[in-house]
Amino acid sequence: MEQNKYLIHVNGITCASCIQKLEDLSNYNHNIKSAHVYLGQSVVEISANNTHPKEIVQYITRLGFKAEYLENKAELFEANKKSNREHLGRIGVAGFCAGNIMLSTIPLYSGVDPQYRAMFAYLGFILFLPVVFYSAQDFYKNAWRAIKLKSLNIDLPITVALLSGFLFSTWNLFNSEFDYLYYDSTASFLFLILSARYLLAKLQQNFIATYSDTDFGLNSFYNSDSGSKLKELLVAGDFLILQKGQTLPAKAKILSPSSEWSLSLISGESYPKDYQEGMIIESGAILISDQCEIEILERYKDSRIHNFQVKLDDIKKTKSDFVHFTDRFSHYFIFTVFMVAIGFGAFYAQKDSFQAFQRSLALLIVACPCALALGTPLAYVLGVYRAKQQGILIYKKDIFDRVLQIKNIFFDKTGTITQGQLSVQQVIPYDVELINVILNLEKVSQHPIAFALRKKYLSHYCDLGITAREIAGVGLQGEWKGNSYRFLKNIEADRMSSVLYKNNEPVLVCYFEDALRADSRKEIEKLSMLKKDIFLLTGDVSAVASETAQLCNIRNVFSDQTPEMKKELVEKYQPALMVGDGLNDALALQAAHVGVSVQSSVQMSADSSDAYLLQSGVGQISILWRISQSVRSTVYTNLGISLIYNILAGYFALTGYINPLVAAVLMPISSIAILLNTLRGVR
Amino acid sequence: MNILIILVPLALLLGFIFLFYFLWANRSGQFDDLDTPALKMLNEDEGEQHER
Repeated sequence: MEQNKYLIHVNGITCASCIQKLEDLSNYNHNIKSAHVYLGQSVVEISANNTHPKEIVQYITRLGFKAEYLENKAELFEANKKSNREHLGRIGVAGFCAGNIMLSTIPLYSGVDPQYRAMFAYLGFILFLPVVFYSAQDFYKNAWRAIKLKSLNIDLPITVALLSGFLFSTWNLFNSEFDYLYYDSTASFLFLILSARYLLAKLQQNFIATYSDTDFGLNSFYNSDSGSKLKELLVAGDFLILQKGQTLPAKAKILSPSSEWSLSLISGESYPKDYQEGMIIESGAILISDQCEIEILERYKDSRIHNFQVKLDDIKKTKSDFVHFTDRFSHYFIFTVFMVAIGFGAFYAQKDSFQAFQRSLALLIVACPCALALGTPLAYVLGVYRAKQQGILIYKKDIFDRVLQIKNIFFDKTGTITQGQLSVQQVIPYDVELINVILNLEKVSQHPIAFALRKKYLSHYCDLGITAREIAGVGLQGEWKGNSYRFLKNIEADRMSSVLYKNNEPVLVCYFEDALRADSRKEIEKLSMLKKDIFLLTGDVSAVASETAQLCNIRNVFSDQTPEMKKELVEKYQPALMVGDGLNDALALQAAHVGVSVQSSVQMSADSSDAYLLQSGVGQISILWRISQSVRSTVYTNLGISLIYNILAGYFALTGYINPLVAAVLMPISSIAILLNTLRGVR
Repeated sequence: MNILIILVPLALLLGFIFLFYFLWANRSGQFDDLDTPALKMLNEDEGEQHER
């Protein structure tokens, strides 16, 4: 039997019992042979046979986790695992050798008996061999790649320093010049830089969220009259039975007498809409009522929702890669160091060719690009790590630079600064007895209205023994104490309400709203203190929009926005930050300088954005600024430290004051200073 | 000082033993995931599953 390995990303693994639950999957599902949790990456590796990975995902979802199948990621995961092990092995060897070289070098510095000097010197040489031939291999590969591409990278000077240190020391060794051995400083430098890179790679794998190949809020399978069908295989004329909560994959005609749909994904309108038999509905709508039969009118490939995906991919391709200024800086740095070394060597050679050679090499060895090679990447990854601790998942590392350029901030309304759910705003008149009648009518209803009422007035509820009947598409009906009661939806443009009729007489009106999230107002205040212009974008009509805007002090409102209009607005006001959740925000999120999606966003929006908020609400957005600032100031102070170090070390090297002992002290100090400054600086 | 001829190789040998076991542990995947095992030890032993 064939066994397949699947990787499944699982959110919400927090404790020991979660791990046990997941690893015991094989006891409950005979198709699953084994499961292994990798907590750092939030990934479960599952070996199974005879089953589709999506079924496993469904199974895990039923256990109460948010799971997602990582297609095509299994190889990457294996590759990461392998390269991590290799890397750690190299570090182990380098650490062992560096430590022992240092021990064997101390007798040389402190003046051991001449008969033992050669022994310790050769011991250092032997211990350096694994470092130069095994531990440092990756640096050679990267440096070689840079040479082939005729460019400079940070591994090039490291390789030059390492190899020149090795060759120069070995040449001195064989000439019995035991005072000029750089084995210890070079080995410990390599050990430090390898360790820092390992830390970096690990953090990167764990905290930079993985991109997934999305089925963007759509299910891949739909129930049709002839079994389940892949969405890509749907053709015009197919009959589907959609379940509550499913998203429509293509334009369709409705066959059930009446049904209720949320268009929030497509248009951003907050209130659900009723559709009657025979009406045509656009793809991307989500079914709210219980079950609905539809006839598909177009292929998925021609649908609006698929069109969306194509457009998004286009923007993704055209968005230019951000070139960080430290990249440019590192080019100048490497170029300068090489030039100075060669120039000095050529100039001084007329006076003393041995000294010229030695001092130039000393410069190459001690000139340390560690601020660039270690400090900058570490600062960014630590920024990502801190952000995750504060509840922001970062998808792209360069977000920290881009956040600081932002001038305008756009908020989507429905689901972003509001809860995206109905809640009771007002009941007129407030009559406890009538409210109880309504609660009884809505007793078993799954409608958003029923949930809103139950949430607010559950304490008023006592069973009156009313049997409610549904009046399809409009409301509910029931009898109590000889009176007939009906609770019917009232269609108004700007406000959603329901009216209770007692024997055809309206006796109570109940208004609903999409309430603000608790922290929206406070966060927007904080952001306006940063002197940013704040805008509200919504697909709702202007009355609803301006009411919300007033509540949270936003002066600029754009209502009646289609997804394309949102994108254009954001582009007009660049550099802009966009916060959104729905499919209708995806284009704008992608186009914006920085896109942030909030919790419970549809997958497609989350994929289009640069960061994702892990806690509900928008309360963490200002944290992005704080972290970005600390990352930037850390990068700058690192560069400052490194500049001072390199000027001093370079000066001493060229004037001949740098001997191996000074190098052995100076080089680790500069690396460690950079590391400590970074760890302290990014908060 | 002749004792160095024995002590230095001995010290190195000791180091090599530790290095060897570190590399062995690394190769068998003990450092792949450091977070999960830390929590796993809180679980009951296998075979003693009791549903609640």
